[in-house]
Amino acid sequence: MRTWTALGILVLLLLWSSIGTGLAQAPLYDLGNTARFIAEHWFPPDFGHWRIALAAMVDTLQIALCSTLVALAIALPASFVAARNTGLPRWLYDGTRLVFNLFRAVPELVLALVFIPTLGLGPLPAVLALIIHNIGVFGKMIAELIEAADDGPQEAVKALGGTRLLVAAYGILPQILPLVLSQYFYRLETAIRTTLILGVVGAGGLGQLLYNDFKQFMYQKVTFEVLLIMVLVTAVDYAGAAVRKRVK
Amino acid sequence: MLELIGLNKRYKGEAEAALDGVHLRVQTGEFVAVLGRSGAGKSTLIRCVNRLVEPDAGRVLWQGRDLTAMSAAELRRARMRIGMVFQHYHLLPRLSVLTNALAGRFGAMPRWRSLPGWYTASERALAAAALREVGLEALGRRRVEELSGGQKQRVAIARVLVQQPELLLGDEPISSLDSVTAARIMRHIASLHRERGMTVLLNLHDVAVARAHASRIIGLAGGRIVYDGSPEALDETALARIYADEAAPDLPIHRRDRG
Ligand SMILES: Nc1ncnc2c1ncn2[C@@H]1O[C@H](COP(=O)(O)OP(=O)(O)OP(=O)(O)O)[C@@H](O)[C@H]1O
Ligand SMILES: [Mg+2]
Repeated sequence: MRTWTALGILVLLLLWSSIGTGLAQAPLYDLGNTARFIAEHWFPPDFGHWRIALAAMVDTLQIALCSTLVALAIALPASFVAARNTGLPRWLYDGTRLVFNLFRAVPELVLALVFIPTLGLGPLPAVLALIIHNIGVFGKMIAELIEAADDGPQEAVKALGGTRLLVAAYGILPQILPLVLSQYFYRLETAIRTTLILGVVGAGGLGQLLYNDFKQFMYQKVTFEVLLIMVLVTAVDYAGAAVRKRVK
Repeated sequence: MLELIGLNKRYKGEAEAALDGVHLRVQTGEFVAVLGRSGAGKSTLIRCVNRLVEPDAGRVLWQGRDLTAMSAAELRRARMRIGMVFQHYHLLPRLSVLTNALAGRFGAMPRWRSLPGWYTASERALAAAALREVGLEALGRRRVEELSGGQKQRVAIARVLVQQPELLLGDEPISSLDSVTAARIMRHIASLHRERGMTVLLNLHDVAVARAHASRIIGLAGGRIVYDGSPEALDETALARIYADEAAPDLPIHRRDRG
């Protein structure tokens, strides 16, 4: 009985939201027309500007890579302060947690808009926005890994007369490293997609190129750029898998 | 000399005390085994000595100094001279056997060398000798995750050899091992006692092992010392006091079984 009620509620929610968004009415549109339009105007892809597009792809990768690396470098030490089991004062823990939460709460796009008036267009506002947001994401995630870490090695380092720093470096870090790495690659992939979106507000890279071409109805160029996005994300995915395999 | 004076410990949220007024004086050079059923407070007792567990009340005097009154820095210096082996080995994960042995120097090294792991030639020689002593010289580069339980505990012994403490604590160091491996580890511990002159204070759950190695046995029940004497004097009545509740109906019975 409970199952049926739950299912009923779920169906109602689906109906309500799909009517609201127009998905329910979609069959009324001429979808065949859309397919024909895509086939005629978006294909074949236009590879003519491949130099520019490849350079833009590299820019995108650099923005994502730089900002996630900086964010990780800041969040990793900070997250030890935000973990309850490292024995630092309570107010420090609470304060760091709060900062992480605030950083995480604001989407990158909003942060980038905040920086654009003073920093102008270009990659810098995007990089700063990505750094801030990702400090929040990494910080919270790593702090939780630290709290869940096995006590044993930490006790061993303490019992040997090791400092807090040694406990962190030898008792905790090796345990969480593989998980931190796999999260890093996941965040890198996300950062690439975010960088593409930030291209719309002038961050440069493949996103901006794509948006400009789209506005000028150069759909065949856009098709090539979408293919490049797929290549980039897939390549990062493979790189991540390769690194994860080595760090176990 | 190690002296525990009126140690009390009750964990947060627990109704009963894990340690209830424990007095114990251990002379330098003694080999003391602590016996008791699960939940008797054995681990708590051992861990209070080097303050891995903070006692609520009481003092721990060691070499004439009060460990419980020490600052963090003083405590680190004292811990440097107190070794410890654990039931679950507590090796440093994802690191090599050699690195784990070298960690024995952690307390004695200057910080700028211990953090990046820069060891001197003499420290390396010490670690190599320790690994040779426990028969692991061929496995120095192996990751500790790839070892058997007995091999892991031998790495922990090597760590103690590198640390060269005056006092060795042990929280059931052989409880996860089969009897043949356990005997081998006990021989290593006995040699730390005899040849290196370490004072030893160990929890054991095997009465026969305690009898075979210890010069003195402490029986713990409900957080109190109910036996303190030689292995020879540990008779049926004494064992009943330590292990059986019928013989001591006034002692709290512990139901929880913790590691
Ligand atoms: N971290 C903890 N938090 C709460 N209670 C604890 C904790 N550690 C131990 N206790 C409780 O304190 C009492 C003594 O525990 P302790 O671990 O010292 O016993 P033990 O003699 O070592 O037992 P075992 O033989 O099972 O290892 C038990 O009642 C146990 O439940
Ligand atoms: Mg125990």
